[in-house]
Amino acid sequence: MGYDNDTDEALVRRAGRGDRSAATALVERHTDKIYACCFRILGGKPAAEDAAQETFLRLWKHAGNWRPKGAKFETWLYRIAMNICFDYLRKTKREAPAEAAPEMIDSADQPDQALFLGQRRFAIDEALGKLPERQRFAITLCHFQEMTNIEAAEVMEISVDALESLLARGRRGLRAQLAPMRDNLMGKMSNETNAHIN
Amino acid sequence: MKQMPISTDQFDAVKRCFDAYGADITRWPTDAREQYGSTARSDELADTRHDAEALDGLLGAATPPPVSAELKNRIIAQYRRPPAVMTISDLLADLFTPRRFVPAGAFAGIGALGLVAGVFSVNASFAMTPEVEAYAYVYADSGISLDTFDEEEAVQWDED
Repeated sequence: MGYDNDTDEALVRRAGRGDRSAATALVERHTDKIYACCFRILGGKPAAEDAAQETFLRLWKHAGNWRPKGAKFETWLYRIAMNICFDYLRKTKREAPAEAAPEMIDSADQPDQALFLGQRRFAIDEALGKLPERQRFAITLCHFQEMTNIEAAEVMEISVDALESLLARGRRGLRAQLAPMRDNLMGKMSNETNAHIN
Repeated sequence: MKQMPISTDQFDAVKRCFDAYGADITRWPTDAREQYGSTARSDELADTRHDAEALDGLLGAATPPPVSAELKNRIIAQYRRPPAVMTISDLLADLFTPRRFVPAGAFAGIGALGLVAGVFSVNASFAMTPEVEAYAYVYADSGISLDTFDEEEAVQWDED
């Protein structure tokens, strides 16, 4: 049974009544985004997977009683994910993103490029990881999850002005951290682009 | 084409957008995009724009690993039908749903129809008051039946 045309809200209500295929449709629709968000915040694959799983576990728990209350389902789901990530960060130290770097090295015929991609991602993940939690979350929502400022502010339950301030400070922090390697990273990116063009 | 000079306010506003949202103006809030879209391309802001572009490029190059099918399977496997908890508002809403009133409405409708039918049948039968009984006796003896009495025919007979 296809659920492509159903709204998230309708699917949650069905999942709350025990419709497993509606629950599956929600997982198919949102897991990638929630996982990516958790990965940005927590910096490691196992932690991000645990957080994504926990997010859906809470969704199943509350699906029977879920009411929109003015917020979109996705906003609510991101809010759950955010709280889980913050709890996780409070309990544990942020995992070193070093484990993520080798995953990029999967191109045997272009070892240099693969190594470069791994290093670049490592550098960016590390820079993100050093930002204060809320700045990291603001950048994750607006830049990586491509939310509007209003949506991101809703998820974080802050004003748009406060969100803008977090974004600006976060980006400034990233620039400062990445500045020493920027030319190198950007230079290689330019080479890549040229290679694509040629 | 010569560019118009940018006011300090405009400069600050556009710089704030670059700092917060990056160089890609499609990521800017709609009102800022409409208001400062053209200003963002001005030469005066070239340095700010290039800095923002560089950071956007780096961030865009860092993609998270894809979600494993195993994770999705685990999430689906942990799905259980949630326990239904009924709040007072749910209870009231459920109590007053239209479908609950269908049997009761049908029952009441049948009762009302019966009542109306009863009233009509009572009105249709003659009440046997003494006067009615007397007329009935007279007409029965005269051979004239009230059921077969035709007023039009009676009028025609008078004219003849």
